[in-house]
Amino acid sequence: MDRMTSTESSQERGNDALVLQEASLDFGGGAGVFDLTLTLPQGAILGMIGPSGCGKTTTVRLLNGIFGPTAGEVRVLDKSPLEFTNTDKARIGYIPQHSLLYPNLSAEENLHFLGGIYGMPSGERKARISDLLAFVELAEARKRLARQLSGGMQRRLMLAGALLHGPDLLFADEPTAGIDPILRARIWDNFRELRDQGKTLLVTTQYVGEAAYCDRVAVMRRGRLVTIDTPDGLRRQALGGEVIHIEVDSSRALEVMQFFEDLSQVKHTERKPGEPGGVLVFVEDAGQELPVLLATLKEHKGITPLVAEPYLPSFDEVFVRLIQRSEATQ
Amino acid sequence: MRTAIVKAFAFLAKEFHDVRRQPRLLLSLVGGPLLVLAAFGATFRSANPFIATVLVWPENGVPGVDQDQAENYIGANFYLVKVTTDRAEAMAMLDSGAVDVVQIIPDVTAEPQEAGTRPEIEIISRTIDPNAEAWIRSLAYGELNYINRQLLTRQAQVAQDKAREAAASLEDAASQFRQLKQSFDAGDIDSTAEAARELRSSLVSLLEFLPPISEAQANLAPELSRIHRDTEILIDDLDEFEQVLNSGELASRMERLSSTVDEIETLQGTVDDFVAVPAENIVSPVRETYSNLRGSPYSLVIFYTPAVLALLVQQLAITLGSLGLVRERQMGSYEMFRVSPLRFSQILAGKSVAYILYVTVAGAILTVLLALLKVPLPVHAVQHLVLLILLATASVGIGFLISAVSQTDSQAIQLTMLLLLLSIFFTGFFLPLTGFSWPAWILGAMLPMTHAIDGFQALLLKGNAVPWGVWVSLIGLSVLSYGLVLLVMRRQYRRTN
Repeated sequence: MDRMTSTESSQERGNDALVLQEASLDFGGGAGVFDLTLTLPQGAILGMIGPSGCGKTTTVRLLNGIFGPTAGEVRVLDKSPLEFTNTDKARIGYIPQHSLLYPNLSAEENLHFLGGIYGMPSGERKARISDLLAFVELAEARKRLARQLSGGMQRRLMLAGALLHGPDLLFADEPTAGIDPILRARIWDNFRELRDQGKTLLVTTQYVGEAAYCDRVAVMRRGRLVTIDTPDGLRRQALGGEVIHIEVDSSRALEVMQFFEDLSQVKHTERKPGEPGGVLVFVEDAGQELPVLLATLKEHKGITPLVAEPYLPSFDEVFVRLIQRSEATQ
Repeated sequence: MRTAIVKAFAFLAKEFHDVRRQPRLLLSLVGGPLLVLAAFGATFRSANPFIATVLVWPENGVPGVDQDQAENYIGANFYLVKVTTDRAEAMAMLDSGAVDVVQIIPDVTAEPQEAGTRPEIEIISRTIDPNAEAWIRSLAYGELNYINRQLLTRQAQVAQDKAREAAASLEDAASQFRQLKQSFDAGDIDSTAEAARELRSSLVSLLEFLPPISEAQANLAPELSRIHRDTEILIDDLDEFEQVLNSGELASRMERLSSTVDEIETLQGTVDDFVAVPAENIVSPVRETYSNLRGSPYSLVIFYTPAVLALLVQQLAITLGSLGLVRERQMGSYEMFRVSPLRFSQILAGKSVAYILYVTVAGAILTVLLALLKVPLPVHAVQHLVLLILLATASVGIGFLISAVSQTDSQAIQLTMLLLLLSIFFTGFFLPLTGFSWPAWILGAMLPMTHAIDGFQALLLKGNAVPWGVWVSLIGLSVLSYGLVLLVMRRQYRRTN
């Protein structure tokens, strides 16, 4: 299933959980978010990545109706967030950036409170709380006071709280901030499981690597959307295509680079940092070109590489390249 | 409707769990105020200022005033450090701070320095406390009256002694006059004339010693006014009798003789009455009678208990209210609340019920525990409970208002403390509101405690129902405070950031 359908047609927009059309919120003095345009179909995870202060939280607040746009259009579940009724609000779950757990209440009592403010009757809450605490692996900590929970446990408890009323759409503002990689991976497992249940998620994060968990990734910088694409699409954008990693004897690396540069299907080549004989070859389709390039190299230069494989750069690298490109464009 | 109740109940349950997890808070809610009252009861001595004094007593004493009596009188209100005859020594004690006041009683036996002057009781202090000064001046006025009264009483006693002396002359003269009237002998005329002269002299002397009589006093001290009148009449009669004697017309003016005898007998009766009256009644004809229809007043500790109860309940409610919203705002909870299907009125309702419940329960427990301090239980338990609820409601509303205008919890606490100060000064807690001008009455009326004091006093001390004005005021304050909170906070809630 292709979760990344993105189109501007009104017919398909009706299937989108989120639509931002040139939306801006100008706080003045350069602060705010500007000209945001993106869509997210239902049942997908949108990751919003960017450094601190780039406008991720402001975008979330535009989407959940805390702020209204100063320009453009914001539609969530086919409605302006400023016009949300209680029924609309009940379809949305929200994990704010900061912990909103009451320290003197147990994990279970915090969830009862959160369920209560959504008007859930006590009996319904009890059943859901048991399921959700098991889902976020906090069943054994249900009686523990919130102040006695670790940071990761608190974030997972907030996830359970946001899901308690069974929302269709979940906004999670930096849910993995400040917690260790293992717990982060566990939280992302929860998100993917929710996505698989048909829920739509918008998750902001400063951890660029978490883009890999998303169906779609929006990169933000200084209040603007740098780009939005699938994780693979981002790589392609960042690298201008796909990359083949070839390692040869270091004395022949330059020779190999010059040889590939002359081939029409090769866009350009680069030395691989930290690897003396490493060469990165940028092509349109790595899977298709790899056997062709290896055969040509053997035939014309008599070189058989030590390593030859499609290269998947880290998202940190992708992010840096995208930002550098954005800065260069500006 | 059911959903709205569920949402409000979520806050009630949250606040309940939050408070029950803080045992120290629970203890301070009830135990703290009780301990404060118990400490007050165990240590309170007097509401009067403690003023150390030295008394300078004249070497010649004060006629009619026993020094021990004076010391007892002064010692009842001042802490009498020393009695001396040395003014300089007393002033040195004042200068060194050993005493707060020097009281110098004048030598009333000495001749006045100048015409028209009169002896003065000097009261000298260096106090900076206006209450202490008012107290000293009030006591000084009392002392002045006391000494003046003692002096006048002494004078009245002397007059009574003179009246007794005059009574003997009256008896002698009466006997002579009666005999003259019967026999009309020449020898009797001489002896009667002599007796008349002696009597006149005695009466003139008596008049000199009688305390002065004013028109106003005439009705209040009839014995004194009558002896003045009858003595003067008899002196006139005796003068006329003397003239008749000298003119040799006594035989033809026997009615004069009869008239004088009648006047002597009248004055004898008047003198008998005059000497029988206590001297003090002559100079202080008006005295007070005081009746407390209740029997006796309460001790000061018990008297202040309703006010202390009202203060504690009010401050507890205001503190909970003032922190209740500001902490949510500081936590950033409003952001969460705004995203959820929750109205601000539901937040307010849930929190209010929780706080009002806590405060009411604490107030009720405190009321029962106050019986340990011998404070009467309320005569109408239901009215007491409703009064606690209304006081808590109005106070929580004011607390929420503080929350609405505070950015941080320290600001909220500061405003709460400011309100505590206002409550101590402008609710009649210690200083009666009648001692202030009207702006203070408005301020006092805006504080729930002002009305609650009246209600608690009625229920606990007077054994009456709560006055209707108390109900109206507390309901009015509740409506006003909650109305303002909704007005201010709804706008803030909408622009959460």
